[in-house]
Amino acid sequence: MSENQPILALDNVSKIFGRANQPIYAARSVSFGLHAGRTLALVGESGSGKTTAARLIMREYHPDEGRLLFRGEPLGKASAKAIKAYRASVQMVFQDPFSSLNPAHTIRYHLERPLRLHQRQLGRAERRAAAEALLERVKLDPKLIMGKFPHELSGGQRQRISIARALAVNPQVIVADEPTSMLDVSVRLGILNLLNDMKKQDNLALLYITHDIATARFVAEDIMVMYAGQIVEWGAMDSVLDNPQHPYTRLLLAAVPDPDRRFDAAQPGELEQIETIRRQAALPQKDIQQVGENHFIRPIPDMVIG
Amino acid sequence: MSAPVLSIRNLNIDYIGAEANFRAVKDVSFDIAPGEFFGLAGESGCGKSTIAFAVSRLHRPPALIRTGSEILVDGRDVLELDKDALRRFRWREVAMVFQSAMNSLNPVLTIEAQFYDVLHTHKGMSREAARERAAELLKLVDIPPDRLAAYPHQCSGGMRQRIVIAICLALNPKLLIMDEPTTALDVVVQREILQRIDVLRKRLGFAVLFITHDLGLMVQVSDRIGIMLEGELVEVNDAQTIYRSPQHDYTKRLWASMPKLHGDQIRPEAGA
Repeated sequence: MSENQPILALDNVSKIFGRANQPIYAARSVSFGLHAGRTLALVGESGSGKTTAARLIMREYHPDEGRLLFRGEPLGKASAKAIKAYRASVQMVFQDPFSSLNPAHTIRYHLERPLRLHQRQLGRAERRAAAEALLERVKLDPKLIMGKFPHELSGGQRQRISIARALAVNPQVIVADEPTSMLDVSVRLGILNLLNDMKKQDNLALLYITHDIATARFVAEDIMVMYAGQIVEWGAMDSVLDNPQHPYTRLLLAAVPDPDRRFDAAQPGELEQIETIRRQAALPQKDIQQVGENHFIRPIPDMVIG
Repeated sequence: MSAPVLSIRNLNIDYIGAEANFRAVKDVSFDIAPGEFFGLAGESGCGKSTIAFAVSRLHRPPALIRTGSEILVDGRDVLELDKDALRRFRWREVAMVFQSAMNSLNPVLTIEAQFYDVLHTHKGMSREAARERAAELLKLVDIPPDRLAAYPHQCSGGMRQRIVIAICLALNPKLLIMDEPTTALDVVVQREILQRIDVLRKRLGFAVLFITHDLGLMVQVSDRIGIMLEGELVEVNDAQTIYRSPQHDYTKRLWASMPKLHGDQIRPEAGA
């Protein structure tokens, strides 16, 4: 496998809902690759298709157009058994640490279950030791935490458990869907740093899905901006953030709370202009334009670059 | 300086427990001037929502406001109002937008019926008069009057949030309390709504008590900010001063845990 080959790639993938005569593209011609040891951020507002992208990667949805490639091999429709094997390589961390852990089970159960399912060769004692090692990796004390139930832990601790659970099967790819949006600011960075450390230690490919662009910049090297199912702009993080070219990206960045910029009242016509940008950005757009060394957009008609 | 619209003095609130009480708000005092945008920031459990509920006396047992506490709205002590006075006070003097306000509309009533509910109860307006006033109020938040006939599920989240704000402004309150009003919305819609509030408070002259955990947003929109930590108000100052030269250690740590959008990134170990 060559150095530059992504571990996991989406190649022109579309996911269509609705009726045949009125299709709704939840994802339209989405292409990107996840590379070992790198983090790619996927940002966009609610309904832009971020979570659809995650579900396609997890193979909860089958693409209606295009294909997924895992280590260069195309993935077709697979049996339940093949998908289970796939999920030993591709794991997910969810948004809500309060509902993604089963309230009726202890932390030990949560960590030992993936080991029981995916590493059946392990004996009882080995499983125990592996679960303890996982807790230590996410900087929690096994003696204090192992016997606890989810409700006895804080949101940040629970999210650490979710990460430990994802790591249990030694995955190559982790998809983290808004992993910190329900946590307080002071614990957010701890979780983001943990994800980063795990990425470095295990050479993981990470997809970080968020609507919080500032945290995306904190963890990821590359960024994609999604709107209405399409990736409208993508490339190296600072190139996209400091020099956004697509009108929707500019709109999104201007709306991000920034304490260094005083809030100003909407200009006359501003709301209409926002509507126009949204309408145009939602149109299917096949062209791709390179606007920087590692920086691309899908231009909308009549767009002036620069 | 003109007399404050809200003046909180030595506010102590306990949550009464079977074994021990939990003091959620500890000796908090601050003022909000007429027309001022005041931000109250802090993490989950710091007592900021408890204060918001106490101001309109919406707190419920086991929450208990301790004697000696004062909440003055326009010079009148809210804690001494009787039942009737309290009903007249709410909405007319202080209106509140709740955290999941977009879900606080009644799903089986049209938007018009929900405006009528407030305008009839508090002002005794007829259906026709209420419809006219509701159309005016919707215009304030940029929603066409034909939406009056719609049900909440026919409106987007941002639109529902603006409708709630319009209903809150129906009786020209002096103070609008907003508890995490835009947390469930995405940033583009969030900005639209807060820009709208900012224009309206300048035009109509109401003050805002804005509660959020989004510190960047708070600095952007507020005139003054109070930082809360475990029930105590640890620092109050104008927004720019508190951002540029924070005094309290906790405030400094809060700023240090906010990733930046441009320029030098914060030190990775800052929040670990």
